[in-house]
Amino acid sequence: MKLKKALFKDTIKEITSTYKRFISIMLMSLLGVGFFAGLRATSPDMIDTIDQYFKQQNVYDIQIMSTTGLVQDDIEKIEQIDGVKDVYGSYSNDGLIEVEEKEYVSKILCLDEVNKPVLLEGNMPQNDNECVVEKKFFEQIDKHIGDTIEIKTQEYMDYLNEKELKIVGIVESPLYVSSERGTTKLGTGQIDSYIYVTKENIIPYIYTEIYVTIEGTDKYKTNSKQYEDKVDEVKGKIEDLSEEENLNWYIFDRNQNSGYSSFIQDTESIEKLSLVFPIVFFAIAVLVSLTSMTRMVEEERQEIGTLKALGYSGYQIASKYVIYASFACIIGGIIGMNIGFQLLPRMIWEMYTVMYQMPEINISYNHENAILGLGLIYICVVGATCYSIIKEVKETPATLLRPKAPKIGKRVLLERITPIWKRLNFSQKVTVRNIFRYKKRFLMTIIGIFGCTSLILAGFGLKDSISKLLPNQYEKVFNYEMQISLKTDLTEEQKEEWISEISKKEEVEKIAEIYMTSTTVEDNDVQIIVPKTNDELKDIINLIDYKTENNEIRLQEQDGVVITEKLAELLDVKEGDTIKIRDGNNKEKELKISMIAENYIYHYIYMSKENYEKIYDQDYSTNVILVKDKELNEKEQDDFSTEIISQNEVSTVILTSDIMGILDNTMNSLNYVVLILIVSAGLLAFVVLYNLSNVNISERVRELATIKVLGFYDKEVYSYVTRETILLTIIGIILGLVGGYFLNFYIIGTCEIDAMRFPKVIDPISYVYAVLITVVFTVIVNIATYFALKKIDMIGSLKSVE
Amino acid sequence: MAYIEFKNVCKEYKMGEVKIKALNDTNFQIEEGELVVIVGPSGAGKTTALNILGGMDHVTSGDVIVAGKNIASLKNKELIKYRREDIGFVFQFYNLVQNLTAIENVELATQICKNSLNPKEVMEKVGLAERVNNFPSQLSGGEQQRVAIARAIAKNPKLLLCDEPTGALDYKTGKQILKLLQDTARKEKMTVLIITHNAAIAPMADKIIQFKNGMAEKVEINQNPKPIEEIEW
Repeated sequence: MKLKKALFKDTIKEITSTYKRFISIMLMSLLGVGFFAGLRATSPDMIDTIDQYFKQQNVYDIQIMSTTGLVQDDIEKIEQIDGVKDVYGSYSNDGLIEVEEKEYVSKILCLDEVNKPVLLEGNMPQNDNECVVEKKFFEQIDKHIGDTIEIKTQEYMDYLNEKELKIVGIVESPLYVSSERGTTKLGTGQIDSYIYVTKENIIPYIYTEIYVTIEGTDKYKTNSKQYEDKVDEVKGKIEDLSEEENLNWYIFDRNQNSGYSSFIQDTESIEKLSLVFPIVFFAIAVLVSLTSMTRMVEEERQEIGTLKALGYSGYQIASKYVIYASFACIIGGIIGMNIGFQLLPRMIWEMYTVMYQMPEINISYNHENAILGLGLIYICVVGATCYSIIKEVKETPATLLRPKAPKIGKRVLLERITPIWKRLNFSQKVTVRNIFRYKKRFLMTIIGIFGCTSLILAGFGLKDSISKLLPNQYEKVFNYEMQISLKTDLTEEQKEEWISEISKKEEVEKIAEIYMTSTTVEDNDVQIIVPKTNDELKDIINLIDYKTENNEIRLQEQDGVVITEKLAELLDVKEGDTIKIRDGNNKEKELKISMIAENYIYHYIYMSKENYEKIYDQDYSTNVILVKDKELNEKEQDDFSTEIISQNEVSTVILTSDIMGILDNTMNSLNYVVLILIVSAGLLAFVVLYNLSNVNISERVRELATIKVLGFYDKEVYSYVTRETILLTIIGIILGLVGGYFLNFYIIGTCEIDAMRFPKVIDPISYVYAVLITVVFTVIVNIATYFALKKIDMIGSLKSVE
Repeated sequence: MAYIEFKNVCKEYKMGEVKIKALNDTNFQIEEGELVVIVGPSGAGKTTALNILGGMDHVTSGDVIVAGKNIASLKNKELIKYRREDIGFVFQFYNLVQNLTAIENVELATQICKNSLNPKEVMEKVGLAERVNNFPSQLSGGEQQRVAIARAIAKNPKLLLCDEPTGALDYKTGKQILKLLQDTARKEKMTVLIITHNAAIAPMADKIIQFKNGMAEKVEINQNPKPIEEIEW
């Protein structure tokens, strides 16, 4: 027992005297566990957040819709089904809101005990003449809480009792967590926002949808296997009922809610990333502990010999090093996981909140990941330590007390290639020889620098892709500045007159008359654009072949439509294939793809007027005018759009610059990701290089003292040692640039949102940044090396026996 | 004035609270081209004196004149320059760079000196023409010490300082090394200082300095130095 106590004390002393080594192992464990635990916790934390949110707002498990409408009788039938908890009949309808003669399309939902919205500001409606709206509503419509709006519902003019509604509050609906609001037959086909009214304010007795909650699902997390099983079980029974009774029902679960499903998809891509990133850090942790512990054991060879001679067992001696490494990795790991759990989910959430409207993320202390991360790092670090010590403690005390023979010099292969070898000068020869002398260490330098450069490049590359997104869409593909929607009630004559007037305006360079509508293709919201003539889009929208970059794509008169690249990828289709779309009456139509066009934001289908009329069996009518102006400045553009919007024929005007402005803000939050990549990459490089430099100096101290005695100046001593490090750093940087290139594309591929295609580009300047930042970290370490070399005591180092 | 002059040289080391006086008012002189043997028990200050003379250590007080220059007052960088151009050092444990061949070890020194000698010729002089391309680990102790001497003299230094050069060698090999040093002093007219605890070899020198308690207690001029072959111990 006493023996062990002495050893323990010795370990503590060792930590304080070799704190640099201790800290480097600790830092690597911190990074490894931090990234592992933090990244792995993010996806569960996000699911947990939406789960809590859905439970609190009593969100449905199953949604039933019918083209023929739903009645009280249907509710009663469903209530009979085993496993059903509550059944709610509900209403929703699309409505037009006219504000200063402009029209906006809103989804009008009714307040109920199911899918309860969260009140963010103001009050919930108490009376029938009150409503609450979403935040987005105010972005488009110049109204405030307390103002009144008037709602027109087209199909059912008697949908609402009170059509003049006072806005009393702002809410957030769990049914719409993403920015997608769905499609409509009104206006441009896109729903702008949702509003909630009281149930009493709604006239019809026929429900538009039925929401079902299921018994026992509150015990499970949404999207978990158990949850899905429960839902599928009841869903099956409802489907049976629908079939038996010949009811025309569409039965959905949460996965058909586009906001929910894209959120779940995003958590899945984060989970994929969390499997790749930590590997880099774990690998480096192993290498760092391996080199530094090997060196530590070598330095203390005599002490180990003495302890052995005193009668300590190999196990007891090894335990000192194991305790040392354990301390380092457990302390580092615990700090790391605490930082990781807090920081990473929050940062990633911060990125995603630009797309989702949800409450703050629930940060949890995920024990499973904590223990797994700590366990893995422990195996890595302590495993490497055991590997370093095992050979030494097996030796006899006598062997240990004798100093270890220095690493002998060897010829390298290059020396046999005389023509090259002869051409090298003396210091180059020494460098080459040294590189092959310390293979393990030099491999590590390359790996460390490789990791650093590639992470930084991936970070900057990500930023480049994201910053290219908007210009690519709104300058390269879309070349117009203004999208004007016309009122739906205009006659063809009024329309033509107005169009011919606008095209004569001096501000206008060119216009395109199009018909624009929305549809869904396998759960993806898609905009359909039908130009009036096949040449209409020239210079307004560039249809560029995504493969050949040929921008001469023409719409074909008869069959064949042009779809955008990401949509083609999501549907896994190519030119010549067919896709099925749903038209306004929910009927499926087949379209043949003639071409796939470059596109970056949202999905589009372009088709010719003839094609449209054939497929939809409807007469063509323009509803949107795209305007390319004569390079107006911001002020002129504003004035022009104010002029347009004030005209009676116009419903809405969307300025491209406004869209870019909104999206641009949200993209800025991605700078966090770049920052986190750079900081961790820098730490990684720093720890690895610093550690290697220390080991290198301590192992070669005699050699270095010798050349100092020979009269090498400080600078020469420095370059004698760092010449090979610099060469390896260069190799590492080059490999890192290649690695970063691929890593960047991997990250983009995994993180990409369905509605976006990130341009696969890395700016040349990003390569420069990646190199420069790596070089800066290397230089910092080299400065430390320079001073460590200066401090080498010649006399002391040369005195001892070799 | 003598070529080398130690004037009232003191050197103190601090070992925690304790001050150790390694050199305590040391005085001696050496002429150019002399072969000097420094003898004395361990701890007498021999090595400290040699380290100071070799520009590897600073004095606490006193002057050290070498060829008219007071090296006690040199700055760090000047001291390196002094080591680089004027000093050749030979240690007990050779201190060859393991990763360099014999000739490369010599080149390591010559590449930084202006008036260096041809490494190959020097290797021939020390009798290792055949072994130039061997690594230290492939050489015997005596051979390694020859390489170390070759490395020191190839710089063409003013002073060749040897600290127990035969300490790790057997009798016969040690004798060969001493012969090499004696020949070098004679043929190259080089000033050579050899530290030894073996007083028996003193007769090979032109001057014998005896150290005791941090002082050069006795400086003796030997009018008839003996060739090393005639000395037995």
